[in-house]
Amino acid sequence: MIGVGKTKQYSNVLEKPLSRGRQEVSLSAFAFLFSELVQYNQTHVDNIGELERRLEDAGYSVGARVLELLCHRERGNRRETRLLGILSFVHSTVWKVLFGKVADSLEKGTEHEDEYMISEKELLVNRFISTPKDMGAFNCGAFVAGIVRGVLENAGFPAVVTAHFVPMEGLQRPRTTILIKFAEEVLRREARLG
Amino acid sequence: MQFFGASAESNPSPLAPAGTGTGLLGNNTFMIYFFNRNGECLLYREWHRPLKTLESHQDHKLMFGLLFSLKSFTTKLDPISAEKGSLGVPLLPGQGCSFHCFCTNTYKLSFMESPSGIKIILVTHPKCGDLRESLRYIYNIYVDYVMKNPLYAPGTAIKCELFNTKLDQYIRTIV
Repeated sequence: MIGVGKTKQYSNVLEKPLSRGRQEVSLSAFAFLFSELVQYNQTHVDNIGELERRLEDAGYSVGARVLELLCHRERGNRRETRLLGILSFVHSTVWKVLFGKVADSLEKGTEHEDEYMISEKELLVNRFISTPKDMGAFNCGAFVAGIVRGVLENAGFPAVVTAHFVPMEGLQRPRTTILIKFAEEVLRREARLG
Repeated sequence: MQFFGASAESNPSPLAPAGTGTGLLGNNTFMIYFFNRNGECLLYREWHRPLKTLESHQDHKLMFGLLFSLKSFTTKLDPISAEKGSLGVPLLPGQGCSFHCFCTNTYKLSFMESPSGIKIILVTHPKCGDLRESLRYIYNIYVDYVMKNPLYAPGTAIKCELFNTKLDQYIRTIV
């Protein structure tokens, strides 16, 4: 039970120290909860695009909170102001805390200046999910894309983030890529900062 | 209960039981059936079936009926347990005695029923050993890749490719 065995009771929740918390959660428990999140949203939408948007919005809320928490716990309340800084924050720190490992790779897009890609051989949220053929390119990784968007936007780097399957030769299952497209103002600011 | 007690952690991530396969890859296992509590066939896959006597719908009904009757029979003939349900009444999983395989000169049929009513039938070559651990492992694959998949509606036929891939991979290793 929550609260049993605690010696000191705080009258105000804001006075309680921010603990490290439990480091790990059962994968099965998360898989079932996420499965229910997807199913719940499926019943409330008419098409795939809407479903992806809802998953992204759910992820956005997670991302906003994760940013605050990690800035406090890991970075000593310093905030990132540079593009590469925030990207490596997402790629290593956020991924490590959420999924237990750093993301597989972080690449800069070749065609456009404002595109970056975080790739993962298999997203943790997609581990038990196989999409039926009639759902086309639907990717439950939209949830993770939402998390990334939440972190970036609340750190002051507005961006459009999407999740895509990228088929690779030699691998049975396609790799997942989170594509981040930053807004104009971010690039201008970055150029100004030198 | 017997079902959960035997192996503490049988999740597919560590090593699979019943290790190395023989030279005839996949030819030890002939077919697999998955039924749910209502008798609907969720999955039927065959790897080696040269002779088909019935068309598939009748085949599934025959198989389900066979198991239902066999379970009732084995409960009735049980010399040890005290209470016996009447023949024909659907038994709760875990009640009564549960048969787990029968063997003929050409094939061996192994059966497992989960507490949720999911029945797994594996038809293999007669020289395969006791397949109860294998069936438990297959049930774990089912739980992982079908039950945790939000895009699968329970009670319908299983069309998850991850599940099919993992199942194929594991079946090849059954001795």
